[in-house]
Amino acid sequence: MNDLLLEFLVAGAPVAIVAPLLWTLARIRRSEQRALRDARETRDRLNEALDGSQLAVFDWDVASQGVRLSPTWPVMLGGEAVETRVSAMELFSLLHPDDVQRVREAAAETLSGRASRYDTVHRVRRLDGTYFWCHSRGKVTARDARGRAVRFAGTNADVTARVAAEERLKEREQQLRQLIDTMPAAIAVFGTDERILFHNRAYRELTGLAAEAINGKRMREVAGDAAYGVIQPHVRAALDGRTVRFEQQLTDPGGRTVDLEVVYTPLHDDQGRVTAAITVRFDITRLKDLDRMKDGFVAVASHELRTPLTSMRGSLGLLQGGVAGELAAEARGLVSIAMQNCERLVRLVDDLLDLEKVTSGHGAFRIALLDWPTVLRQAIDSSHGFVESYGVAFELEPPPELRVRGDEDRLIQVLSNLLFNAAKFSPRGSVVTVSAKQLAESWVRTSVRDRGPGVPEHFRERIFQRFAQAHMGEDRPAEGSGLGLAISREIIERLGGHIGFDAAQGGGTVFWFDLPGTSEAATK
Amino acid sequence: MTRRALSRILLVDDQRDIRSIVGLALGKIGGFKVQVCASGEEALATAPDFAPDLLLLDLSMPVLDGVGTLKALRVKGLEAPAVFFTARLKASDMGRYRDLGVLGVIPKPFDPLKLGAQLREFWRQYLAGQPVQE
Repeated sequence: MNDLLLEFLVAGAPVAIVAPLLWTLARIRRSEQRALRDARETRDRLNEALDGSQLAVFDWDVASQGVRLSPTWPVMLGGEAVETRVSAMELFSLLHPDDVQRVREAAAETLSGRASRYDTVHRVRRLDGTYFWCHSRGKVTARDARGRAVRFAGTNADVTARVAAEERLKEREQQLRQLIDTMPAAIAVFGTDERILFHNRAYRELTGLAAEAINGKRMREVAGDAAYGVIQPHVRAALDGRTVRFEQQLTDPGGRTVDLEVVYTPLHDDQGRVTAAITVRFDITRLKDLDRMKDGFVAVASHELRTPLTSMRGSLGLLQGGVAGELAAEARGLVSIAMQNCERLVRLVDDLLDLEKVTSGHGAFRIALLDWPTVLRQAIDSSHGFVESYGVAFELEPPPELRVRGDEDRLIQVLSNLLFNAAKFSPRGSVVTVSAKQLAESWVRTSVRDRGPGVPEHFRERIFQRFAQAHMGEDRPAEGSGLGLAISREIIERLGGHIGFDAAQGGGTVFWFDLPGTSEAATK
Repeated sequence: MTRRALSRILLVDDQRDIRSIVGLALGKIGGFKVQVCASGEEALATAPDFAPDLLLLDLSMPVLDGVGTLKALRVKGLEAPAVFFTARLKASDMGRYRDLGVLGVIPKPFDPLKLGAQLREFWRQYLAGQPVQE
């Protein structure tokens, strides 16, 4: 059209008028061509960009139902043969049958203006019959005077990879969720505001609450005021970044009392700040029940075993005491054997139950800073009973003013065992020496020295083992339970100390144990 | 309190063996006047007439145990001090029965030949106004 106008002007107009006009027109034409070139370049660049981004642009002329698509559309569908000018009907025919209705509704909503934007993810059929996931977004770009949509434009993106990844993620999440739900431990995650962010099925079962009554609720609401009072310091500690472990007793929704072991572990972000904490509660009711059963058993066994022994010991004692008349020498000897073995059996029962108690960690130790010389004297005094029968004397080397950290009853038990052993292995008329001294770094060593034959080489390894007894020859049968040193070692080790023995200079053996302690002066 | 020798002992134990042994040990050997009861209920019926100086009670008995028997006897106004017999492993923690007039504990098994002397020692300390723990 510009060319025709130019010819007309050139033919009929005076040069004076025509020249500037021509110049102007030429300028316009150049700028038009430039604009066209720019537009083409822009379009090409856009198409290149679209190419790389798996994005196709669509422009839908609503009145004619014609849709123009960018050249990336055929690429998406898998072939050059695909038209870039199609009818809306043709486009809809590419949709997966299950998605058609949804996409039509979304488009209608946008065209009518009820929705400002169109945004759907659906399946589109490729040339080869397979489908890809298409994320389609768009809006009405022009409306007529009556508000009817004239043009509708937007983009189609191939998001198959993303959808597949999301599917995989969802599947993994589902697996994880199932895994966590099948765990017997009650698990929940709570944020720094103490609101619950996540929980599993066991948590719901334990609390007896529905998911809605847990998610987003505060710990206080979920636990109840009473239980919250117990857990609150631990909740704070976990949110302060510490892992805490404690035991809790609750009544579950079924009215059953449950023992729980609770662990709170803080969760951190990249900067090491606490963002949340995870609580895991294990039901340890059965363990606790077993514990209680065992405690009960220990008490009952103690009673039941001692009861018949009491009768035996009593009857034999009376026979020996002449209640049934003076016994003949042989009868006295036999009664004496029965008596000794009866007493041995009593010690064995006591020691076995005691060892069980010490090793199982039952009978909590009462730890105190003990006035050690007093404890040593007490142990020696209470051991006089068997001193007589062995014909040995106990001597306490004047101990320095020491204090030892430990459980008084248990340490007297250890000392009694050591004194009993020392007396047993000492020659008649000899002296067993007890002494104590301060070692470096706040340790106190207590020693019991006998004048016996020493521990046989072959026995040294086993001496602290259960039922280990040194063979003392036919004429001196073993009289202990073989558990005294095993119990002593358990006690000393539970008190954080060490126990051992050395050959004494000048003969005999020194049994010693080291425990934390101080000299009197240091504590004053 | 008049200072007198220990003479009348009431034994309560559900086991026949123990009743015979203790009866012999305290009666024939110890020279005490002993009344034996097989249960706390029997003790409640017998004690007022017997008027014991000292009660020797087994701690673990069916129905009325040693502590229950003692409490019931106290309710009846019997003031004689008591000593418990027990086969429990740890017989410590007797302090809480001090208010019930418990002087101490004799663990089972016991030496029947020494039982009388043990009870006399409890009695001596009781008279001295110094209750002792076993």
